[in-house]
Amino acid sequence: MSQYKIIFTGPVGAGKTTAIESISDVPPVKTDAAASDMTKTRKSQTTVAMDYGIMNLDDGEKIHLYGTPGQERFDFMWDILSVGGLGLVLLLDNTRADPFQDMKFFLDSFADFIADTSVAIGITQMDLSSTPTVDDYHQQLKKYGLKPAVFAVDAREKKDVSLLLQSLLLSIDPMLGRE
Amino acid sequence: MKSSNQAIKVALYGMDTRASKMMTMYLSGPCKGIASVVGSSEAEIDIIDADDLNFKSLLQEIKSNAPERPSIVIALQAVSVEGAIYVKKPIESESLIQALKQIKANLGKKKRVVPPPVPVSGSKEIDKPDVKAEVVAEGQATDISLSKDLSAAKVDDVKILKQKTVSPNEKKKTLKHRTAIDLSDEVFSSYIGHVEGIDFSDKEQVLQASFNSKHYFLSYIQSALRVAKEKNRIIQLNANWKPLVIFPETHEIWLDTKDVQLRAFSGILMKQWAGSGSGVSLSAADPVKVGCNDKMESFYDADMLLWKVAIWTSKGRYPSAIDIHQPVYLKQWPNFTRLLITPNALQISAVLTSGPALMMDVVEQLKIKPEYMFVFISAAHALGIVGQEQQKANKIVTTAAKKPKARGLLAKILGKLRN
Repeated sequence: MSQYKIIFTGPVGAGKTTAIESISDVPPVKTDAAASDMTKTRKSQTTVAMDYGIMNLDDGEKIHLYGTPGQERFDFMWDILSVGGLGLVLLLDNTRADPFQDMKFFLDSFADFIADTSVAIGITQMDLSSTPTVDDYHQQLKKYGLKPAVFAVDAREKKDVSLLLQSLLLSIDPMLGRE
Repeated sequence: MKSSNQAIKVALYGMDTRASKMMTMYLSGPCKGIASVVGSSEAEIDIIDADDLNFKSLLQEIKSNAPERPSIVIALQAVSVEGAIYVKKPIESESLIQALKQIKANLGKKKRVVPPPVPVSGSKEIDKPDVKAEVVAEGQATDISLSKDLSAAKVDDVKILKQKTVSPNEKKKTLKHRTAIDLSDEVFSSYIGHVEGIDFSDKEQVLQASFNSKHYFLSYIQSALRVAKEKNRIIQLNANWKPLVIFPETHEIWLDTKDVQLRAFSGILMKQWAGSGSGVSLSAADPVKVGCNDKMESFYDADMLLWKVAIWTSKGRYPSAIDIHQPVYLKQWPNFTRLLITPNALQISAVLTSGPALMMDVVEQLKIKPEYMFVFISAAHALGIVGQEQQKANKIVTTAAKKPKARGLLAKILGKLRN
């Protein structure tokens, strides 16, 4: 049976682990460890390998949810993880120094994967830092010729993560579920 | 000796990741970079949250590790800790700055700080802007008169009220950050209300089911928002109803009302309400006087309010500014997680972000009610994200044209997420 995956990516502390936890039907496998490098200024625990969760569908099929490690030194894993991926969820932390730079980095890193599938972008921590706004992100995205869904997201809220995933699926095929 | 403008190094205790992050940003934002957060070994001052469950043991540990280091204790209720300055929560930047400055001065004298454990909070009302007199000039599209006798508060003057970077008040804006509400088909019709005399099952009547937004409150809010942004002023819209205050810099609107009242007001023809519209005016706003600071939960993201008001203005009709015989497209996805989600809204968005289409074609393809299409278009149009005029020139990049793999599987995932 094929392994169907949805990939969650983004910088350290953007909420990938939490988002997978919100949507997974099983307790996710987390590989957090004490941060030992620059990440320690942002969070005490961080993902050093990957997070893994599952969505169980009615017919027994499973969708695998993978969270990439946020640190750039693990970017060699990103290509491996994205093989067989259905789409990309990019989470960006609005409190970071330059979230646009983060966005560029991840859009560039996953450019081929996005071209084959689609991407939806969730902006986290907007309740701590309201700027840049969602509209600002859309303005930036024009540079890349992309028009993905960009939502303010609280990764702890299942509803927020669900809406982001729904937009991802519908941007792959707007007529989904209408035949 | 340290230079006076050098940031004081502070260590944070008793705070979780989010609280620490917020405090870090608070120190660099509202506290103007007076202190920077470092690890315990480098710190000159400790800031301890006394509301932490393990406060006593934490304090003991801190004091045993660095007995000479001065500390600030923050708590909701006054606490007395020897050698520490108490700052009341919610923290006011002036209080924290004052406490840090006091310790910094003592550090400069190389003396140990042993201040009395008295509160230093409430020393200054930071939320009161220094309002300067300036006249708002010129008119705007909608028939709104601008007050010439009232002073306009410059946005710069009230920045302290709403910090751009981060504000502890941001979290109090519960309405603004509330997650989306989904309305089912069953409740939606009663939620939006209906317009007498339109039969949406009649194709001819459907084509005529438009409304002119200029006649409604919606247009007045849009005009006021536009003026506030052009002038970069905090502006109050007076419509012989509740005060509506616009904060252009943060794209926020403050309106203290219940949904049921707003819904009713959104559907009223303004000429009937205000007598030829002359009763509607714009004036400089004093957010403190109006009570914005006392009711932070009444802050809306401007898009959130416009979206909602547009839905209640539309009642299933489309804006007359849109030609129903021309294709429409979406310039961007609406921020659905913070909006009221109308039936089929995500699907309509996916279609219209992928390229221009006639509204009635979308209705047919998606097999949806025309009023759902129209109410969505009305809301999106109010946000300025619907395009129509340049549809031929608009090359929309989309993944929709690609042959989606595992289509059935994607549909199953979507079905699960919707339930």
